[in-house]
Amino acid sequence: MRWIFDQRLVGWIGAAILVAAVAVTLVPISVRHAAPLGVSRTIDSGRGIAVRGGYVAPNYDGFDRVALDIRVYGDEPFYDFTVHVRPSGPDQPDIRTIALRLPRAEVWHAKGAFANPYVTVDFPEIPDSAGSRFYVWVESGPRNRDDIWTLWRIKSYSSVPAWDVAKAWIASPPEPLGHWPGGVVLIALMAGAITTLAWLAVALARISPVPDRVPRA
Amino acid sequence: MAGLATLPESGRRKPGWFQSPDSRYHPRAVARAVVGLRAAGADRDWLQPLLLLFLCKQLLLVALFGAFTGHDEVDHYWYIARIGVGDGLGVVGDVVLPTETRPYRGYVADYPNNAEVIQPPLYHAVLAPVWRILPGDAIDRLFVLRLFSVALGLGVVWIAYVTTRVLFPESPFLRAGVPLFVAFQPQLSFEAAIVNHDILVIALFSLLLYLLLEGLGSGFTTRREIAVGLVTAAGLWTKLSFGLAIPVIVLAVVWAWWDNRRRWADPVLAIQWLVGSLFLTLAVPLLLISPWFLRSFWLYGDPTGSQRLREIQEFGNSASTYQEMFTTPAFWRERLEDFWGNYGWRNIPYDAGFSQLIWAVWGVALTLGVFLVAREILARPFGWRPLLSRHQVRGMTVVVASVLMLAFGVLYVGTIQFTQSRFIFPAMVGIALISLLGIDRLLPPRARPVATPVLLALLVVFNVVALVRFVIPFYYGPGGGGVLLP
Repeated sequence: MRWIFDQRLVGWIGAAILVAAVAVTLVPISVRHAAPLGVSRTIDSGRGIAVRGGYVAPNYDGFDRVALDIRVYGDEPFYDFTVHVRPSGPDQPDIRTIALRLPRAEVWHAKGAFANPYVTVDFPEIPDSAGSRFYVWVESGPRNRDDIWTLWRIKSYSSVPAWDVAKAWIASPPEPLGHWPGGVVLIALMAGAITTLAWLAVALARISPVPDRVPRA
Repeated sequence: MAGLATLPESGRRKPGWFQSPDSRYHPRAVARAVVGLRAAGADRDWLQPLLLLFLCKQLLLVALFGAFTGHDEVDHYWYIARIGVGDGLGVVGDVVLPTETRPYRGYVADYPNNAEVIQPPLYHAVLAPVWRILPGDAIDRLFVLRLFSVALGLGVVWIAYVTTRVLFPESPFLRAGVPLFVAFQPQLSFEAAIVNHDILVIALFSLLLYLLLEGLGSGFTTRREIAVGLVTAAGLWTKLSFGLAIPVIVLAVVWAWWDNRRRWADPVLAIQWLVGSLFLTLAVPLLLISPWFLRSFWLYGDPTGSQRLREIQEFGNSASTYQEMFTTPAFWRERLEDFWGNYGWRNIPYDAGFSQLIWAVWGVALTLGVFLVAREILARPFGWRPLLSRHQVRGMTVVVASVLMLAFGVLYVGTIQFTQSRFIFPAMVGIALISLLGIDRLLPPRARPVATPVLLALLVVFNVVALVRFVIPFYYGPGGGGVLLP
């Protein structure tokens, strides 16, 4: 493996890392929709209880994932759930229905402080979801109909290329800059950042790994 | 150590304010060094693009974060405006925010009161004349004032470099890695893109640490002691938590004195020297801040006003005890989340998996640091060659002390109100040194060529993914964004 640390290859490694970083902007990435604290809470503040459903408002197309903070309080080894996604509003039918079978450890109410409290649920993407509102609710399977459990929080996601995220930002530059000039400024700054990143990567790859000759005290 | 030549000998007077033999610190020389990066030598090759990249990144962040969505940004902005129009400093509880702040009330700790007027006013007083001459409405002015934070952030990155060069001039990885860590630490970058006095505290604390490490290495001249005193005074006039630096100053000054006392034939002179040093570095800043202490005592009944903060219901209800904080794992998880993420009043947290990945990488780096400490302790009994010089051990002890003092500050604030990890950010240069030192000393020589590019890649990928997955979609999207707390 001696060759891998050859100084001549360092530049190539740096360049490859840079290309990989740029490539990330072209591949789809799961972005979380805008929500206070990143989540939609299911609590019904009027009644002071948590209900088993909540509204999410995707701000990107391609809504294809929710993360659910489900907590169970029983001792069944497995729990069956069905997740329903439907547009908000009266009498709307489900547009996605996903069945889940989860081991108790994954939804046990007393999770460790450093554990991930969410269960991730993927489903076929819902196109044209940007700007719409959906109701996500969970029901237990027949086997767990009488078990005690609840849903505390919901996060929602879309899979979009990173460039789409950048485009959405460029379309809404800061007010004082104005729409078009602001967009141009943002593009110029992004181009400047990428260029200087390449410059920096090359410069860092050229740093000698040998410690400089500085006398030690 | 060439710098030791500047230390005074027994019976000699210390170099005066205008008589420093060290021409490197002449203001013109410092200005030339900063502007032309002359002091950086060959490191200019990467320092120039790093500083330029930081500038581009920060300007993008200024544009990215929605108006008034930084922590306490509403309060700080209207504190500046208040001084700008000549309404004076104000008293907590009496100063009410204007009605145009209503859309941002979710980002105000004690709406409609401006709780930040309890803070010393240096940052706000400096920006008040700028605010006064700026045209436009509050949002126009806010974005311009954010540029001041960018400039301070740029200074912090530069100080990170020069500080590392003082302690580890022989290490190319640390000289580059520490400023890289500081430049890409996402929450420090957040501080350096919003209107908040914290970034000035970070810059002043970083400068203080640099001065202390310089003094520890090449001696505390009168000029340097005055510089330490003035920086401390400026820090205290920015935020009283800067007082946590006082034990660190005492440690550095007394340690430097202890190391050099044997050069002095007259012990009385040695004691006089120590007393003089402590007077310039500690008593002078405390005297300079005393009018603010007296004002707070007069208005709130204690010199810092912390009792008044406890009385604010929103704050007081979140207060805890040291024991509760120490023994609650969720408290430490939140501190880790705050340190690396949780933009704008925790409104934009990372997902758990992403956070855990960051903590794992950081944990490996810190574990190597712990191994290094253990190895250095065992080096003498086992006859191993030490990997750190005595000067570096002393310097890192001061660095660790500064981090510990600010960590204590995080806990102390938790006894008054909800606490946040950002209170430790003034020690970011030290945290970067602690994080990377183990890698620098324990990495096999053959792996060193890739260490710095890999660090850059990790930091860049981390920042880009965090911004693209969580931060930008919070504010922008074809279907809207920028939600506010209800």
